[in-house]
Amino acid sequence: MPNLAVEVRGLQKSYGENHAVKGIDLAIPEGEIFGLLGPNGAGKTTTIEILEGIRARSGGDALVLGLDPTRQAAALKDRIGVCLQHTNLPDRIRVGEAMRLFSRLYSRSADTDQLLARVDLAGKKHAFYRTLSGGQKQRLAIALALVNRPRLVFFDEPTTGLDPAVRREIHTLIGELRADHCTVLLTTHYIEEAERLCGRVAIMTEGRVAAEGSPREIQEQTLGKALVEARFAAPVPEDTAFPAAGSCERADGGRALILRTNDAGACVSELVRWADAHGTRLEDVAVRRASLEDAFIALTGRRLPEEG
Amino acid sequence: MKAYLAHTENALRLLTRNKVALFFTYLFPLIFFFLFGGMFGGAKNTGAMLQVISVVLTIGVLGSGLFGAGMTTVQEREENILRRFKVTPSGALPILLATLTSGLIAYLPLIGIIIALSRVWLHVPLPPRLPDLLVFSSLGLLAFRGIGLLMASVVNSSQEGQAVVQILYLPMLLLSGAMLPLEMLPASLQKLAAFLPSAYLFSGMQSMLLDQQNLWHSAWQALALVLTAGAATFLALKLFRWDKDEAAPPRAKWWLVAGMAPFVFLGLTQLNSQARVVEEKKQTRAMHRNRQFVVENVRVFVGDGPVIERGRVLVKGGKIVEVGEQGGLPAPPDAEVISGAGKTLLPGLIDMHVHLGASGLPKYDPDEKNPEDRRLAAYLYCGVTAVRSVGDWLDRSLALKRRVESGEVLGAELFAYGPLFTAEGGHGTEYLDMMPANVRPQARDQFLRIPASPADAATMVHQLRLDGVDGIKAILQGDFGSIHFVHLDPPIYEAVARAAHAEGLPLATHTNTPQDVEEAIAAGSDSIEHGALSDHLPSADLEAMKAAGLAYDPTLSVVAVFRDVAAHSTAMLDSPLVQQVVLPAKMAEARQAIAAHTAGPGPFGRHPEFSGNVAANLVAAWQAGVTLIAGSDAGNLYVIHGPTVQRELALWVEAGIPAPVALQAATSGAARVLRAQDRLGRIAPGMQASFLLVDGDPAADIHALERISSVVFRGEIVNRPDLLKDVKGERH
Ligand SMILES: Nc1ncnc2c1ncn2[C@@H]1O[C@H](COP(=O)(O)OP(=O)(O)OP(=O)(O)O)[C@@H](O)[C@H]1O
Ligand SMILES: [Mg+2]
Repeated sequence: MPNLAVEVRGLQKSYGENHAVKGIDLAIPEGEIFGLLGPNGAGKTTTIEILEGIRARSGGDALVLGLDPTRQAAALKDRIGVCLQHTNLPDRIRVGEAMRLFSRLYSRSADTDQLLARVDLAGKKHAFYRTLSGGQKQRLAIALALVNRPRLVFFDEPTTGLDPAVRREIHTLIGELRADHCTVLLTTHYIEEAERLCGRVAIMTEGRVAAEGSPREIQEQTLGKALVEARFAAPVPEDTAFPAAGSCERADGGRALILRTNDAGACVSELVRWADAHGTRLEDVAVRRASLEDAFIALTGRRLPEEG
Repeated sequence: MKAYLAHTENALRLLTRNKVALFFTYLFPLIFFFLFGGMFGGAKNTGAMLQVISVVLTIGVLGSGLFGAGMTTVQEREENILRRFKVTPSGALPILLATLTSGLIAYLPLIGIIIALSRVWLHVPLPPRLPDLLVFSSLGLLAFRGIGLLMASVVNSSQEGQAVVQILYLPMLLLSGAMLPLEMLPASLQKLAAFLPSAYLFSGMQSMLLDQQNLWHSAWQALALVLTAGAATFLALKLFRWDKDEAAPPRAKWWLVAGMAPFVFLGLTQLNSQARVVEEKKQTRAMHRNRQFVVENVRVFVGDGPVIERGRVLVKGGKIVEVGEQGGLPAPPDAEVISGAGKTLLPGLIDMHVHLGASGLPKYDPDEKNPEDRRLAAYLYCGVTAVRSVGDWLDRSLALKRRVESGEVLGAELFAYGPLFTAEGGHGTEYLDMMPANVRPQARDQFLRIPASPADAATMVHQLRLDGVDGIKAILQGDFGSIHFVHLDPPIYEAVARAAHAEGLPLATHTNTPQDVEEAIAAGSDSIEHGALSDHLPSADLEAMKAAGLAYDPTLSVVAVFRDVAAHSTAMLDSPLVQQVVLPAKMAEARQAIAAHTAGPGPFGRHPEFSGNVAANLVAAWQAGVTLIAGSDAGNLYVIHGPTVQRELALWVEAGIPAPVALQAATSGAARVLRAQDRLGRIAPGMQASFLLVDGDPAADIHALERISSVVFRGEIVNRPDLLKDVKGERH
């Protein structure tokens, strides 16, 4: 078993009466890109910032790169890279100056020019921060997060509010970290981002981890292998049972059904049989693989913002 | 350390690009500088310019602290800039320290610019206490940046920050003394000002610039600034918030008070003391004394003989720097010009015999506060710029002398001889009998020295020298008419004289008969006070006085009162100057008392013949070539503190002394006996600029001395009406 970069057990955080994080467990092996996926207010930022050593936890254990993020915060901060959710630099600092300033705050530093080239800002070295576009600012933020050659990098919603092309650039940059054997913990609203970048994902909702695993594992855990969507000419009574289906959602006064199943074939034949038996017509039937989004909606009861 | 340097460098770099910060750091103070600098006439008034420098530096410190350090930090938090540093390992301390010191590095050039501009543009000389000023204002800057940082740590938004800064900034500036003198503020605001660091900062800088005091003089203020810088920064660190979301509770603002605790403490200790108002008075004095002006086309009575008919006198920094014929020298470009046409400029008059402890008026006013202050002010009002007190309470005199020296009291310079050396039952002791019994022991201790033996006399003189007297006064006086006085034992008197010489103190001896005078001559007294009242001084005595270089002080004024009161004459009260320094009501009382006078047990109204006799002695002494000095014995009944020298010299001239001789006696002659001839008594370069301008020529008409045009004291053109405002005891 590889070493764990992040190990969390029973982590809790309360803001007064508000229990933002209600006991979560995480284990992120070195070299993994791990995603925390969840709706607004799920506790993603709270969790990640506790692990960065900038918020105190209310309970539970946490080890990040073998360090306790509260008691060994300074040592930890020296070794991690962080891209915060909401942050800024002074309007009139130049890109190169910002790089140099931050590189001097750590015990070791990368070659800042190389880093700027890597995030494609070499040409902007002398530009003021305020003249940068949103994407350029975010790329600078990534370069700053890497300025101390961290082994573990945190990204809190690295692409929120950016346009699709910029988002892809950022994805490429984060993806490249995998090649460096860097561990990444990122939070996101975007399922596609999680699916594309993350080896493993935890879905957080209301301060808990609702599901954890590879995107594929999650959807299977929560939804089974397939979704069957059926539409009948007449409503299906509520107490009707389809034994092959794990669950059944009704819509349109019972005329539309969504069934989750591990055996799509058996499920479809039960539907056909029921239609025949009750003298009604199965107007439409479709079988499709459940997506992570479906799983997410099932777990959180919420729909996520569209990507792109 | 690395992080601190990185943050400092960054802060400085950003400052150079931040227009608002640059404005408050440099431009805003400079605007004030040019505004005030132009307004206060620049070079003509070095003192005012030095004051402007302190005002501008104070404005710079306040702006740098509250806006520069404070608001910048609040804004950086609000714009989510600070929180980016939260995930770096170095924490908040390097950021706070960098904010403190980057501000200091930015501020020091301002001091340089202001001083250089004053030097080049307005010809203000370099402040002699520049290093002290640099250190002190730097401490002020650190303290105020600390306060700014603390403010940033306790407010939650820019708006809140602006509100708190306004609440701090305006009172800090308005009540610092920089905008208007503390004296002009109502007492409640004066009390409030005692708690404001800015007031201490300003007065400390003032004391260095104007008063030329060193840092040590403002050590408490400096300490309070250091402690404030430390406490405020420490609290700012403890309360530091990276995120605008982490709201500080409203009560956190009280921490600001905690940060300024050193000044709260200092304020409490100062609350009931006048120390700060006094300090400000001294600085105001110093400022007024630092002017540069030239009196042109004026007749100059130099003081020791020569007269320049059409001369020019240049004054700078409290001293006479040039004296010459009009047109003989190029006029300095930036000096204020005062026309002296039709006037005579002569050295400040010196009264060599006064008793400040008594008013000279018939009624004693027990409620009067600090009457001596007002008496010295009355002298100065009349152009008497120095007086010799020969018989006053020791502690009061020495304290008063110090207060005049420091500039706290504006009044004639005081040469304090302190108590009278006399015999048990001798002249001087009779005053004790007039006092309430409970004050007698203290009065005896303060006002008299009654040595039991020659050795005792030596010890007493020695102790007085240690106490700081300027000379020794001894009484040789036997029976006076029907009044019995015990005469001082000759061996004791001789011991007093020997001790005075040994201690380097001049001796003034009160005498009443030729025998007393001879005794004083033999003992080597430096001056003879009164001489002989009822006898002619033998020419042998006069020869001996001349030979010994001894000065004769006839005190005709007091003796003339004996005559005038007998004739129910109020001549001594008729001078306009006397009427100016005494309240009309008191004047009326005095006139009534003289009108109703019946000869009592004292000398008043009993010895009209003394006056003619002393006048004759004076003329004989002059003819014999004896050094003359002019004393009035003011404080005795109807010899009123103020225009005493005018009265005395008028009596001399009446007696037959030529006016120029009389004027020399009251100026250079007196200065020599005071051993102050290197700074007083003459109009010459290097002399203290203490002189008066009178209309006309007193050498031709001694009464011209009463027509005072202006009085200059230590370089300050004295605002004479203001002086009398203070002479409340005798004016109201
Ligand atoms: N500093 C704070 N003080 C009080 N409550 C907080 C604080 N930070 C977060 N919360 C609350 O904790 C809960 C979790 O917030 P958190 O920011 O961790 O969620 P998130 O998953 O990052 O949401 P988002 O997607 O909006 O960034 C929310 O209810 C939020 O209001
Ligand atoms: Mg968040």
